[in-house]
Amino acid sequence: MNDSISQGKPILLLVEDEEDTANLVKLIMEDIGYQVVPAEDGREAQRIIPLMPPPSLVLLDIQLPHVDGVTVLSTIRTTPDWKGVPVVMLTADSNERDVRMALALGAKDYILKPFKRDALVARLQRFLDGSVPKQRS
Amino acid sequence: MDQAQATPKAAAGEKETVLVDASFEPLMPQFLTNRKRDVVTMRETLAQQDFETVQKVAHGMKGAGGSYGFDRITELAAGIEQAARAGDVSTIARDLSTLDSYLNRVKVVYE
Amino acid sequence: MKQNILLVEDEEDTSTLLKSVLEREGFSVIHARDGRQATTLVETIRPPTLVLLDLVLPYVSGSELMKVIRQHPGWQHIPIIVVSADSYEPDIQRALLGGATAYVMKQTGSKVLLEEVRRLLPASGRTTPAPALAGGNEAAKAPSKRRPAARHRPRGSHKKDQAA
Repeated sequence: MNDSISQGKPILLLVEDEEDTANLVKLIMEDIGYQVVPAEDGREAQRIIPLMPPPSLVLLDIQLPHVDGVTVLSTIRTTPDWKGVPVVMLTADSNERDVRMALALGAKDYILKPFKRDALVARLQRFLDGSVPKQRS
Repeated sequence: MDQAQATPKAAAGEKETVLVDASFEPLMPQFLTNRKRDVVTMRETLAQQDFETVQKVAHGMKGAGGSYGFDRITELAAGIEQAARAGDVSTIARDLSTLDSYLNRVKVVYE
Repeated sequence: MKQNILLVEDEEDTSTLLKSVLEREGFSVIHARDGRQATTLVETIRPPTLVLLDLVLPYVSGSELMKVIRQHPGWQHIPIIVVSADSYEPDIQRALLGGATAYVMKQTGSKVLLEEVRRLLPASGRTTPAPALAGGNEAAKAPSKRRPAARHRPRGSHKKDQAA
C-alpha cells in the first residue's frame, strides 16, 4: 500500500501561492522526512481540507489570492479533527494586523519571509511532538 | 554584459557571487528564470501604470529571494514594493534596472 | 454534496479553462500541476468521483500516474478520463489499455469533455459502476471498431452506465 500514513511520514499541509517559496519549503521539509501536500491558494486549501486526514502541521501564508490565510485558518479551526493541528503562519510583513488576528484565532506562531532553512526547520519542529522525522543527513 | 568576478567587489556595491545551500541546486534554474520573468512583468505593468501588479510581484520576490540565499534580491524587491505603493515610477524603473543587471551578473556558488 | 474531480494538468491555460467549465457545472475541482503533486494527493485525499488526466506531465508521466491510481486502495474503479493533445492512435489505445476509462483530445474542446464527464459519472443515488476496463485487464478485449471522431472509449461501455 502506497499510503504515506502507514509509512509513518508526517504530513505537512502547505498553503502558499508564490511558486518558488512553495517549492523551497517542499524541498526542505521533504528532505527531513515530511510528506508535503501543497495548495496554491486559499480556495484550493478549503477544497482539500475536508478530503484529507488532519496533518501533523499546517504552514499557511497570510496573503493569498481569492481566499486569504486568516479565512483558511477559520476553516481549519472549525473542521472536526483538525482542532489540534498546529498552524504556523507565513508572512512577508511582521506588522500585519492579520498576523495578530491569526494568533488570536489560534495560530501557534508566524514565520517571516524570507527565511533561512535552519530557522524554518527549527521553528516548525517545536510543534511536532512525537512525530519527529529523521534528521537531515 | 559584465563578466562575473571571482571576488565580490563590484560596481555600485553590487555583490556578484552568492553562496547557496547545495541542496537548493535543483530549484535554482526555475528560481532564476522566474525572477527574470518577474522583471519583465514588472516593467510591462509599470508601463501601464499598474502599480498593484508591480507591488504584488515585488512582494512575492521579496519573500523568496533571501530564502534562496539572495539577500540582494529581497532588498531590491522590498524597495520596488515600497515605491509601487507610492506610485513612484522613476524609483521603480531605476530599481528594476539594477535588479535586471544583478540577475544577469550573479554567480551562484554552492556550499 | 458537490462531487470532486481531480484534475491533473500542467498547462496553465488548459487548467484554467477546464476548472472554470467544471466548476460552472457544479463540481469541486482539485488541481494537481504535475505528476508528483498528483501522487501526493492520491496518497492523501479521499478518492474523488472522477479523474481528468493529461498524459504529458512533469516528473511523473500520465501513464505512470494511471498505474499509481489503479493500484491505490479506493481508487481502482474511479473513472479516469485522459485528456491529451496526442491523437496518435496507438498511444490512445495504450492509454485505454493502461486503465483509462475514456480518452478525449484537447482539440475537441470542453463541450465534448463535459459530455464524457457526465456520461461516466453515476446518477446520484447509484453506486459507481465498474467500468469495463477495471484493472485494465478486460481492456484487452477492446476491439477493432473504432470511431474516427475525437472521442475514444472502450467498446462495451455503451452497455453499462448512463450518466445522469
